[in-house]
Amino acid sequence: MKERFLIAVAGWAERRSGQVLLGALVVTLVMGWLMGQLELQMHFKNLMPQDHPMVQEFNRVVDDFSTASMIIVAATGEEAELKQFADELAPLIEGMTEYVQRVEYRQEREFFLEHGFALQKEKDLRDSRGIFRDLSLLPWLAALNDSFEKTYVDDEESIATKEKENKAIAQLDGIGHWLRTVERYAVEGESVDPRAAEEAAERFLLGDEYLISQDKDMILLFAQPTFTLNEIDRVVAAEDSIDAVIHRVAGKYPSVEAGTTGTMALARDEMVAANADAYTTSLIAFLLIIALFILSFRMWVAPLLAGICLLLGIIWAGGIAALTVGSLNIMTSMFAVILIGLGIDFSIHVISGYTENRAAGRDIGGALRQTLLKSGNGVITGGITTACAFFTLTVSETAGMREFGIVAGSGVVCCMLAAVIVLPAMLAGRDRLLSRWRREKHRVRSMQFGFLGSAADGLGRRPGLAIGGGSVVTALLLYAALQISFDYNYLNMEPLGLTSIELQDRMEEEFDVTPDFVLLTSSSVEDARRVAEEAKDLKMVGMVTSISDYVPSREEQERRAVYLKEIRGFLESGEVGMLTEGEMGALVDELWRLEDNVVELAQLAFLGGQEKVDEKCREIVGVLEGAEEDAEVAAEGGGDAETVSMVARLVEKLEIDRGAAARNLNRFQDHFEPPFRRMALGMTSAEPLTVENLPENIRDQFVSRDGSKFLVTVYPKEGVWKNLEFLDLFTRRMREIDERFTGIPSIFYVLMDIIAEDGKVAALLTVGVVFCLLVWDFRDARLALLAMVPLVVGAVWMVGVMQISGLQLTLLNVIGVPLILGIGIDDGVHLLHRYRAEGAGKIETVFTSTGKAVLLTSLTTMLAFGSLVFATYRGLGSMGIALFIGVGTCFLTSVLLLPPLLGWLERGEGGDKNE
Amino acid sequence: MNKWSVLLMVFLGTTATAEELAVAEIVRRIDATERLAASEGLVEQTIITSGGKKRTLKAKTYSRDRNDKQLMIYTAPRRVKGDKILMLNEGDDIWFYTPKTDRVRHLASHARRRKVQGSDFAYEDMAGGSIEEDYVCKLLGEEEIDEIACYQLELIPTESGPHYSKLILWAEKEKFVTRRIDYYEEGELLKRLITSDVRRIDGHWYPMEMVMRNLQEGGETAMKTVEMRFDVKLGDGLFTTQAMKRR
Repeated sequence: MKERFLIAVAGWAERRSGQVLLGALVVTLVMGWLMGQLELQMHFKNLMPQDHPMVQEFNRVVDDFSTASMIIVAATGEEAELKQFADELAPLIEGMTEYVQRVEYRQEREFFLEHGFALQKEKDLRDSRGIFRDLSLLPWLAALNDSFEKTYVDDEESIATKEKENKAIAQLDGIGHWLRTVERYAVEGESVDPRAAEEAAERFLLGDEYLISQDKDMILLFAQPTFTLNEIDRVVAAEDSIDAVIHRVAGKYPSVEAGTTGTMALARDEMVAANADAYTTSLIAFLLIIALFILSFRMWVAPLLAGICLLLGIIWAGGIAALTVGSLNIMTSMFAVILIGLGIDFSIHVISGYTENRAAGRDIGGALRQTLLKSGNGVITGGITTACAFFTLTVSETAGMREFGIVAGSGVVCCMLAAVIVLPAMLAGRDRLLSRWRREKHRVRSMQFGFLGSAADGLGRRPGLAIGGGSVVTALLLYAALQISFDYNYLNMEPLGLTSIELQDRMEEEFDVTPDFVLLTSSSVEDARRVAEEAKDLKMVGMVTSISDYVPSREEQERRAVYLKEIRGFLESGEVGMLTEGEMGALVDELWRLEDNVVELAQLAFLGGQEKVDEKCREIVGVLEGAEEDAEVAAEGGGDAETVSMVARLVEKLEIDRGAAARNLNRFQDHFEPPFRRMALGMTSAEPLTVENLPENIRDQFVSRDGSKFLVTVYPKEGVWKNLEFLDLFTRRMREIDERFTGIPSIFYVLMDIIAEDGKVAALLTVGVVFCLLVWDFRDARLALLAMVPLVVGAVWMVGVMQISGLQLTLLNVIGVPLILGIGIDDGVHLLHRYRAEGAGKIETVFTSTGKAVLLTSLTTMLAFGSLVFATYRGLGSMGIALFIGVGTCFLTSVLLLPPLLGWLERGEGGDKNE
Repeated sequence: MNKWSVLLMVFLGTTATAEELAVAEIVRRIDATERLAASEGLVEQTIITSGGKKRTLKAKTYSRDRNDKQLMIYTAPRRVKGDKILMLNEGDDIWFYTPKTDRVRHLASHARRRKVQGSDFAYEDMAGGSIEEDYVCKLLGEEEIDEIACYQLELIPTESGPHYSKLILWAEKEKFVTRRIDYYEEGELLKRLITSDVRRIDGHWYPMEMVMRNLQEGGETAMKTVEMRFDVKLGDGLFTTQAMKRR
């Protein structure tokens, strides 16, 4: 049947080439229009099985909470400029109403000025209530010391979790600011602006209102988008517009460098890189292959025709992709490059056969018939085998691999059909035109690759030696292949030098959190509280945000109300006494006590490895004895620490003239005490905190649009991608707390397992399907088995060579193994088809003629896959290199192992291979 | 009962009485090996800071009354030189002293469950109570750890014992030194202690290296003993808050 079809095709090409080409043009126009409708979905989330509960939950969360995919603006620079930059930028971004609902970058002061104390833990209120008993400077400072000792020094777990560390840092920041302000008063006396004391009071009670790092050299702004991560076009448009504004504003502040980071920014960067890569790599592959073609065939027009034919195949494949899968993902986005590499092979076989036949003196019709009968069989079998190998990927659980199977499988069929149906028509048309134009018999030249035939013949004569050598190499490479490891670092697949990733790393360093959060939606505040509290207790967690932070339980509120009442009582009745010169000694003692407390906290933080607390302490107490000489500590960045203790500096100034100092401190007290009392009193509000009376911006962050769900977000302390063990533990621990947790790290981790499993299943299935197809094609199980040998051995060599070259398996190149089983079979199929057509004893002829085509097809495929190395998206590069190696090893095993195996079989049959 | 009779019982002892006897003897021997009257040593502790850097702390260690009282005096880096931590009542009371302020602070009481500063060890892991008194023990069998034959014991804490729900302990059959402990909390494997480099010091077998791996959150703490002496004479006065202030 195949022969009848091929003879018919040859007839159409000879007699109705115009009609064939016109038909192809119409189909191409329709498919081209369909291809234009394809969307790009470049996030790896789109590779996941979309019906996986984790993906469904993630999509639900993303759709329900726009805060789940915040746009993060991160800026570095000097504190004052950073704050000015943020103040100028925030309203501009907020003005982009098409993309942004609101921008968060300063604390919701009004809410905290009313409920600040009600949000503090009972123990903290108990430990700190004494501070509000008497706001006169000396008793206030003594009470501060008491509170500090109870909170930090008497409780060795006071900074055991990240949340507690942050609280300690905020308090130390307030104390540092207070000391600096007191020093200003001590030095400048009357001239100090009273607002400085008010600011010190506010900073002490509420902390820094900006989202600024402890070192004050990085600031964050969170823009809540009007769209979700699932709307990729808007993600790109919004990110681009926001970036433009950021750069315009940042340009005004010399020290400020800024950009966007987080999931949204990364999604945009992936998209841009993938788009650019698709064009660049396709173009590079196309040009390299055409150049190789021209060099090999020493002709210009045939390669051009093959290129046109290939283009048709790709357009048809794109149209089918639009009809079947609708969008392209990370894996399928490179279908054009893959088809360039694979699709051109069909044309090579056809052109190679045609030129040989024409060179042998056959007329157009005869050459077409001979070509299609001799090479067409192999082309169709090779095409169907490769397509079926791709189609087996459709059994995969991952949407990415399934779609890849559909797109690449149908693409191979399209390219094969274009090569078998359209290319002969073009070749015939071209020859007729050339004959008429030159008015002389057009001569076709054919290149010979005799060295392949000689080498194959040599190997065929010494099968034992060749098979033995091959077995040793295979055993060594199999050992290497078994040692290959998996690279779980998702960021290693991203383009290099992305601002979004650089800022993400910096954010991790400065804030001890990364944007690779996991999410959970709860049906009640209490459930959210349970989950949040459990997560906060983990050392691996950098930050947890939950509605429960703003709505304590009724029991908690009742218990806290007792302390709020007590504090309110202190603040309402307290009177302030003036500091006398005689009390200056006691005040200085309290200052030294404060220093001792901070020093002890610093020492405990150093021993406990809590670097940021240690650094903050040293900002107050200066470089501690030993630290300045200790190379290790210096290397760890004592850079921000003051060289002299703030307390020592203050005491030195107070001791110059105690009388004047007392007067100046009283002035400070006059300016500090009223706003402190007013603010603290405001913070004692006992009005119950409920979801309903939360400010809108807080509610929007945590409550779903219909008010039925509450979002809990857990940020890991470390980058989950740098350390597989951490990624594993983090995702596992989160799911142990609650299995509803979802998020990019969890999805990625699950995805890796599913892909690895899919890869194995697909590889086994491909081997099975390919073998069945070969048995059907050859009608000979022995030949089918023979064709499988170079394939399976080639796949082993591929992984072995990858391991030896220092490559790792990645999310993308892991599918290279099943792919290569589909692609690599072609070499064996073509060689054995030709061998069967030529008969025993013709190994040299087979490898001279078909070997040439096999070498060229392998080179073109390698060039196409190799062009992926130029992709900025490094994941695609990893796939390109893997396939480059795989095609190369399959070619080598075909030309090195098939001749001795054939020679061995011929000997076994007692045939004389010289016959 | 010598070890051969213990082994014989382990192999042949199918009756509960025989097994109980065997377990009791194994546990007694482990306690005897590890709960020594007094010791004095020099250790290096490697911790991972919150910024992900490795930090090595060196300290002199003193213990007496079978680890009931322990004192650590940090010697390096210079930043913590002279800082001291005193643990009394098997880790229930913790005191801290730094020469930088010359003050002794009570860090915590009832702190046995808590983690030793910056490490994955809890105070009670270091306190080294009696297995015989603190656990109900069961012999699970024998298993090799690093190619060394070990008894595998299941230890369920008694009310006065540690807070873990279960421990699985591997002790060398020959030396009765602990080679590995898996700590379980609410049925989940929490952390794993691995010991190595077992040496004979002053007639006692002692693992010079210990690594505690946190299997729930990642990370590990390594403790390396540089020097160790046993059966030393240490006065009661050394383990007091007053003594901490002495240079």
